Amino acid sequence: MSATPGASPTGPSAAPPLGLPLPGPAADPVRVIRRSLRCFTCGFLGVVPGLGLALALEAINLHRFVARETGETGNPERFHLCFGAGWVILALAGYEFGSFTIFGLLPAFLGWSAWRLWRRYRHATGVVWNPARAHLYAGVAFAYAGFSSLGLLLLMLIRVASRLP
Amino acid sequence: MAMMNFLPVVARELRVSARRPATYRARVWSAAAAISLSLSLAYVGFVQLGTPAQIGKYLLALLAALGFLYAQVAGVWLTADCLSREKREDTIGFLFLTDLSGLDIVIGKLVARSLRPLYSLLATFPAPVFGLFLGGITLADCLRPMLVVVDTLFFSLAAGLLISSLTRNERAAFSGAVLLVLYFDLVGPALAAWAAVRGGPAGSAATAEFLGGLGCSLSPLFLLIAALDPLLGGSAPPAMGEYFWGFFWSVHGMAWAMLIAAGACLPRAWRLHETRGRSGRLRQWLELLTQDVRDAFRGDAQRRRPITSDPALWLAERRQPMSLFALAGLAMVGLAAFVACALIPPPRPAETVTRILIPALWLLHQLLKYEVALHAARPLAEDKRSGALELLLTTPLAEAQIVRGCMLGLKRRFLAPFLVLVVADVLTWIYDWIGTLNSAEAGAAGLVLAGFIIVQLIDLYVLGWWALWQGLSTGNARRALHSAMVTVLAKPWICALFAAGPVVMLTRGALFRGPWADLANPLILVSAFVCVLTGSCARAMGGLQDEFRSKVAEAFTLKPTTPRWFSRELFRRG
Repeated sequence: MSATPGASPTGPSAAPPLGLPLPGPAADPVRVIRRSLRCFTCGFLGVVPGLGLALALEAINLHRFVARETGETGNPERFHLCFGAGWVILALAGYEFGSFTIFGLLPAFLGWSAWRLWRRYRHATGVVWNPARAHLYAGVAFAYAGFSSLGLLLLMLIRVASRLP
Repeated sequence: MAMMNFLPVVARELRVSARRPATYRARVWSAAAAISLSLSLAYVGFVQLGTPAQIGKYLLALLAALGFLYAQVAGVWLTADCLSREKREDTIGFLFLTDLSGLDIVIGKLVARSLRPLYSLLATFPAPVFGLFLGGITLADCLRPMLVVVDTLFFSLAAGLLISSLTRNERAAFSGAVLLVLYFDLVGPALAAWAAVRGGPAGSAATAEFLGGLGCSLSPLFLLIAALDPLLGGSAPPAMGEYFWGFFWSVHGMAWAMLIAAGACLPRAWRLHETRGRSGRLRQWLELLTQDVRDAFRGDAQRRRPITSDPALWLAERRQPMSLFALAGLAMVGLAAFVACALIPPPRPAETVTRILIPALWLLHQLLKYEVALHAARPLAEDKRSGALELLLTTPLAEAQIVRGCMLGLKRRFLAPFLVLVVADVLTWIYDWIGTLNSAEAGAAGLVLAGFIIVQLIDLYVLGWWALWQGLSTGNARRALHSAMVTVLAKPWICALFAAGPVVMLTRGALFRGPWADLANPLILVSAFVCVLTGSCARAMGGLQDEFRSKVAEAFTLKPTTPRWFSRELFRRG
């Protein structure tokens, strides 16, 4: 992703060529840091399965906003949607081939997601320095843990319900 | 000549509406909501109920009730401020410089404002027809509720236009329109109840029956009941279904009468603020006489504390008195409960009295929530629009202090009414305990009451934060109020419904049968409530803390574009 125009730490960028849209607003470092810390808090509370779902979603949203504002490389929406799509595929596979498929594939999927998150934390670079970047990604990791725990809880419920008369 | 004037206004308004993407979006979303609701209800119905005929009937009844509610709310919402706003902005006078009459303008507004809700309702109509294939209902059963929904929309649009033609103030317009629709909805049941009590050998039975019939025939709610009556088993003879067409034409005629009255009032009422003379002097006299009472409602006595002690709180407490809607609602609910209790024959069983008091108290709690949302939404929205917030931010007051002052003002204002309601709840419980319940039942009822009070308190807290945040971010008090009421009062139920659907599907309904149902139902409901309310509260508190200054200044800066989840960029690797 290209850097946000006007968000460079060395000062505002050059005026855009004619015909292109106007540059976006400059990143506000205070807002970026506060949002990153809030992402951590929301993600941490979002670990509680079910009850923390809205907070986990808020953490993901905050990560998107911060990533866009700081001009991080990569596409944050695509990153999160891949995680969601993975869960949907896993659920469909479990529905079709039995829940043992899910329990077999789940560690691999969670490991792959954790590796993607780590790689993004290490390599996605932004043009605005964010001292709370570690908190931001920790919040996302917690939010993912919350989604996964909710998924596992639902799977267990389905297993229990299938044995009911 | 009238047609010459009338058609250009309608054509122009329709052209403007046709260019709005929201018109088409609303249609698509309402159709999607109706289809998904029908499918999920059909699935749950097959699991729980079993017979397709029953499912078809319940599906039709549910969609008709939702459509009725939507028609009433949308009609009032869209028209209540359309003429009064033009009066406030002094643009309606230009229309009267042309050959247009009041009725031309009113009908033009009606057509323009009705387009979106009418499209949305028409888009949902194929969904209930699904019930025809399941059996148990006829085509006439299916068409009657649709007719009622469209007629109700026309009725509520006309009511909103009538009130809008008489008022200038936004709040008065909304309050008046809601009260007018509620009056017609509830006057029928009230008069019918009175007629039922006075019926029989009593002397005034004929008068009571006549008044009851008149009230019912003008009530859109009774029209809906008459439409659904043959479908859901019918009532005691004479069945309500027999009166359907009579009720229909009465409601329709009343809507036309309100529309014509709006057209007649508009040319006379738009210059009302300039009138002087005896009525103006009388108003001054009344204002002088009621000064103390109004001061008490405004809390001016509290405001006399020095501004230096807490400037933000001082500013937050400078607001308007209780809204007309809340005062009238309070009076209506109290009076209705009192009359209903008084009408019960002399050995008044405590159980019957409690059955009247509990809904009345519940309604009062909802009114309190409305007031809290209104008072939370207004200060920041109005100050942002007028530029007062920018001035305020140039002073040594910090953002956090302003927000804290607003919240403190709300707490001071509404703590006493809330405590009064809680005391009333507890007294009702004690009355019920003494009258009917044994100790085990009273204990269970007490637990339910405690849970109810806690939920109300949490609702009020989240409502305050969310309305403040929406007031700041939108700069529009009406939109903020709407958002707060929907987010706190409706969203948790919608989320519970949408969460229950997949769980029922995945577990094939096993969790909702037998002993598991007692655990699964409250668990899903509580989870949805906690999830939505904590999420909303976190969003609002975080936003007010982090984005206060940027929201105030957003009129002078480039607005940051909100990243979208689904865009063309999604397919780019990265």
